[in-house]
Amino acid sequence: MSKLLPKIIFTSIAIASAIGGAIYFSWTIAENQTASNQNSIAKDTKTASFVSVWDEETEPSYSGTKEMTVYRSPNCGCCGVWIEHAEKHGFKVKDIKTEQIEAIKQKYNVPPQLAACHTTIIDGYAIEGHIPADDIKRFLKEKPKLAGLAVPGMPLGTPGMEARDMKQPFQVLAFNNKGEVQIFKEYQSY
Amino acid sequence: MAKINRRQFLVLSAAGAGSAIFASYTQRRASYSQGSSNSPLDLSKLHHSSNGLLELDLEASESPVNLGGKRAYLLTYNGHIPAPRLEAKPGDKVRIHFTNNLSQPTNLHYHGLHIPPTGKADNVFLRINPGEKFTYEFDLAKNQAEGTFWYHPHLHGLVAEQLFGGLAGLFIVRGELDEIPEIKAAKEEFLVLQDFALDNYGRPMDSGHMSLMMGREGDLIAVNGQINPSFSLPANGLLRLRILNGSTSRFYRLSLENHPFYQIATDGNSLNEPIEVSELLLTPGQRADVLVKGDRQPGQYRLLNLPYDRGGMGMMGGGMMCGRGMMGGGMMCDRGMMDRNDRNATIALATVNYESSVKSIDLPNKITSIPALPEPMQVRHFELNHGMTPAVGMAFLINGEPYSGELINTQVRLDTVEDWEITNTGVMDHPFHVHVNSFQVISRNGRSESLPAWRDTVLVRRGETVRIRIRFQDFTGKTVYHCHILDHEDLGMMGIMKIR
Ligand SMILES: [Cu+2]
Repeated sequence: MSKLLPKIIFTSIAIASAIGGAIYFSWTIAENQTASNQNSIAKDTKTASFVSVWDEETEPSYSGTKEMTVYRSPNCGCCGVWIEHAEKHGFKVKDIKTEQIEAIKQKYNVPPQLAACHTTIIDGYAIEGHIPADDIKRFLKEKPKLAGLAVPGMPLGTPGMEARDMKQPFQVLAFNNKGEVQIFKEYQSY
Repeated sequence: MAKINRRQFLVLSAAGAGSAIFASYTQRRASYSQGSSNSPLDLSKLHHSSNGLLELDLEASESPVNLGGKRAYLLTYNGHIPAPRLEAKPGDKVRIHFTNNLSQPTNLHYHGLHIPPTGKADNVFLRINPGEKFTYEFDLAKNQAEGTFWYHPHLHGLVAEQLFGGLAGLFIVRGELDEIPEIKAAKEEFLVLQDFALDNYGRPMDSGHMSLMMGREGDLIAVNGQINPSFSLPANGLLRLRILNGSTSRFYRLSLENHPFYQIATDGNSLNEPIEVSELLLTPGQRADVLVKGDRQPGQYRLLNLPYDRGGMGMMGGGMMCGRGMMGGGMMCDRGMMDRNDRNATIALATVNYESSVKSIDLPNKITSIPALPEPMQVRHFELNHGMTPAVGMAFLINGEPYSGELINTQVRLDTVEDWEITNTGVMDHPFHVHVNSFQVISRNGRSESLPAWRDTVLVRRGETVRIRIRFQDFTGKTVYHCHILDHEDLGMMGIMKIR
């Protein structure tokens, strides 16, 4: 990864349009509100349009499938931000909120120990968690005999998980339908 | 490019300062007799007040310790894991000459004690830099609850890392409770539960490799710094276990084979009478005092940690990834980031052995009398979740706000009673802790709580709303409330309250 920005910089648009918008300003009136009025935190996620190290397009020649389906829990606070990341990189996302996300993971052979917060299906592959969009493009170009990619856990700093200047090293893992795993790409610093 | 890089460990060399530390380590070693709690107590591990004064030197530093038969380099107070136990009585003065020999700033929090949140007392806004000294000095009120409290660092942003390094110790307040004949006759044991993840050098695993979003957990679980130690239970007698969850994020769901627990205290506060429970769920920060009756077939019984799912983005457990099922045989050992393998596993934390019979002891009938609090003057709402914020990106939030360090989130008045309704709309459980004043749980999801109890930390499960009632008494000033999964706290799930 090229070193685009030393840290995430949020545009002023972000403040207005972020999840965000409502939550961020809700505190000033929150004291007299009931909690149920504020349940929207994670639910709607046309989210932060901030500048991220992951914004740069590194696979401009990609010409494969663009349509993907993302399954996520209705309460997932970070999945929507990842969807925005995918959209920035040219993917067209069908966003499905479901409580049955475990069944999806099983159907697509995602090893349980690699599970993350949302599961993306594209070209029959399962793409699990906060994976850089351009890694998906590289993966799909190769059309490997594998079941998919995963970034287990929710490392801070990955696309959709940007948090100040925190950047946890992480690995993009590839898995097959026997549950075997290999490293597809490693990010020590980014 | 900035990685998480707030920690620089002291590198201990064989020369110079290092050798001095090693020398003192060998002297201390005798006290680490593995797996037995019967060895005479090393006096440096206990400080109690005399003539109304508890005074001691306390040094935080990285020290070599023996952890489960392995050399580890942990963060310690006075070289001990857990830290020395402090004991005092209501009305005592406490004076702690603290030295920070860590490579990071730190401070001390006296979890659960009803003391001022300001000045030289329970002041979490203090910043004691490396090499600096600070003398904590405060009085325990005459009406200070008697029970099991504890101390640990509380400098925002570094709390999880420092606690995970090992910095935690008991603060016991002795009093009338201990004089109740049945309790006095019971054999007393303290259990400090801590978990550790060590790298190949025996140092705590770097924060960058731990799952901070879930809250870091280690695969080594220590009870009083030992792996699976033994405790003895006098046949026909009573064993009083005083248990602290001193872990950063790990929950413990405890059960003793064939024996129920008779719980007599929650978070350092006595219950009205013993309550029989088969299991005990302790979130980080919580304590429980229980009695165990030695009325079963004499033998050996395991203290078990049962599985508990505290949530987290559909991550369903699963094994450590090292070397298992790898294609191509490459090394992949990012252990910390993988979900831990024990959500579905039962582990023995300690062993209880029957010892020679004593005259039979009954359970106490009445322990104390917990008053109901008056109706609240105000009801406040707190929503717990995580999410993207414009200011900091991904963060843990209370009412949509990450901790700012400056903004006062909640202003309350001294000598008033309030109800706080805490709703967890997220996907992980959050234990909610309030400093300085204890509270009573009024209801969970609208169902009123039947057990009268004082607490300072309450679990708010995902999807749950817990209503607590709290009276702000005796002390004004700024303090905090927060999630006691300390990675969540460090990532923003904390608010400042001003009592005036
Ligand atoms: Cu939490």
